[in-house]
Amino acid sequence: MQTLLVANRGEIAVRILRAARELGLRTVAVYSEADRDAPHTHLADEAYLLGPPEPAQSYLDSARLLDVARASGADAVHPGYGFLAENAAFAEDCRRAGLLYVGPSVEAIRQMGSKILSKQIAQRAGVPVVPSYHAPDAATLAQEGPEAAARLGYPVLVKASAGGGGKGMRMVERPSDLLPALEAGAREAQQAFGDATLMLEKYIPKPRHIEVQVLGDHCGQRLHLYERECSIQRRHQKIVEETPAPAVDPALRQRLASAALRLAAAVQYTNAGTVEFLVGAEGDVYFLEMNTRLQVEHPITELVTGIDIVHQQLRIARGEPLAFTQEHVQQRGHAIECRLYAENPAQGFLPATGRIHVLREPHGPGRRIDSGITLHQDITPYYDPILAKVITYGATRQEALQRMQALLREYTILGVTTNRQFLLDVMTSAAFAAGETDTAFLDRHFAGWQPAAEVSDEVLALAALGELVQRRGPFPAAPAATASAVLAAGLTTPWQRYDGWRIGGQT
Amino acid sequence: MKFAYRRSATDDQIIEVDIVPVPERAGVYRVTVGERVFELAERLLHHAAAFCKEAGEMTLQFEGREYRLFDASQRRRSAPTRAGDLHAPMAGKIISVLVQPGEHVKAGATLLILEAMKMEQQITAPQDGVVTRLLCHEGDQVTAGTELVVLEPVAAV
Repeated sequence: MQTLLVANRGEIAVRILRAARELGLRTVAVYSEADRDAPHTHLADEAYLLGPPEPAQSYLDSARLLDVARASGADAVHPGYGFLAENAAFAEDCRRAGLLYVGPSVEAIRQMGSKILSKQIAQRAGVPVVPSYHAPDAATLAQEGPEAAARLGYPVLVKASAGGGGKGMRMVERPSDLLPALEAGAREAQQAFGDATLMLEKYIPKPRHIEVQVLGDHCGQRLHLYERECSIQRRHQKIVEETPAPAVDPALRQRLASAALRLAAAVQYTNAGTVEFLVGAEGDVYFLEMNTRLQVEHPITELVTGIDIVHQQLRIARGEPLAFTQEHVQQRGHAIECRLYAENPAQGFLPATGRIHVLREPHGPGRRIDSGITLHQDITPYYDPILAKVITYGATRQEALQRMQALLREYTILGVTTNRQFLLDVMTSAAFAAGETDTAFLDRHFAGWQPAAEVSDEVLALAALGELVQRRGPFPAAPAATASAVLAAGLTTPWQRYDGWRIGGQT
Repeated sequence: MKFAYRRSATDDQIIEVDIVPVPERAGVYRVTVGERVFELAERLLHHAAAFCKEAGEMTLQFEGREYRLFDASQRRRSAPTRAGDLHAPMAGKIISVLVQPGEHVKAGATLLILEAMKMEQQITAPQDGVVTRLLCHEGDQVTAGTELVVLEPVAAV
């Protein structure tokens, strides 16, 4: 492996490009027309334009990516996360074109990419899955549903077989509510997915979302890098992750890790992957899915284990055996990650766009900022709204949390609406401090959240100061006499600016 | 130097703020807000606070909290838009137009689907009505606040 093409954008492209350069590789970035000035574009040895901003014509265009690989002389491709990262056809195309694909085998991507097949494989490997009942058609479901639901035990979930994202999903607590729920669920599923097929699933109350990071090399060695707790989610997408998981004791940790390794072994998993589980209030464990790629939240694992997962991915891909064994992997201290998104938490987490006018990313001991943004950058509506990940480390959870609160207070970004203040409120809440993190955490504690920023007199005074300095222009404070003269002259200096100018930006 | 602000876009009250330099103290200003007087160093804006102004709308970050305020010269806006409003709630692409001009729609019916950053947002009818004008097409990129549909309410019979 000499030259790595990173088929992604944003913070993860930056992260991977840096790791590749650290290992002495030549790097190739790709970018869309919307990302000409994005940080990842300028970090690589070479950068190639893919096409228009729309993902289908840029970061999802596998034919174009393979052309760039050929033209740039790349011999390896890292897909990052999202876009083509779990696309078996793309992995196969890369391998057919003679490129090393930094990820697992095409077969493993395919097997774990199927909701049904992955669960079958898990069950065969002795990994428990959420008990469920599937019927061939609606008539059978109506007939056998009540008995199946009783077998699963109430409450049960009625879910659309074809879908995700909560559409067509209903919780049923009593047998008498089952048939009406099946009728309404079928209507909703038909409307959302064009397929009215439903399934029943055991409802797991107050579940936690806990996942296990695994690594496998091409010599048959597989090991785990412990767990991550990712229960705090909005729209089924994680926003806060931590490790170790507050509710996992050593026995449960061992059960999760060995289940993850059994599944990884069943598909002869290579490279980095993540096995996701639901963990019930009683410590009952159910396999959800396996992500056959680098995970957004990989940094927290890196901080507590000291292992650079992207380095390991590249080493594994070029055929090196893992240089350490399971006994060498220690979980030390505590790490928390918050995902900074361009979105408005006070308005249903709707994505936000705009230009970054002020940006301060405060580094320091125990702080890591994986950022994909830069001052003056336009945040466009085309891609996932992640801007940066802020990660803190501490000897204890308390220390990591205190660092996170300070980091989120100091992190300054103006010009585009972000969830920074929402994250800060989550990080300073009593519920988070107590570790009460199940998947309903945000609904329970932060439904209807508003920024609650009453504009005080002091803030009005600061605004006037901001405007004054803005009008005067971005040069250092003049001597008092000169400043007065400027003021007396009604501030008509050549430095007057009224639009979009910022103070306090990074210099 | 005088400035006039509103605490929110819908606020009637205008607050005057007066700012003058403190003699002999470079970079320090005396700011009067109503009865209260503050002495503020310009340096604050490099550390504890940050300020940004775009099109009459100001955002400030101060000690970890973010504030939004408005120029008094900006016309007072009507009450904030709500879900089901027929303006684009975010910048994005119209991926689907489900109604035609002249069509009668029921309250809650989906009129359009807007997509940004992998997220779909349905634009629904706030009340029963007739679509009198369609101001966008499938595939259009729109900015936040763009009017998308004109819906004539139908009086309840």
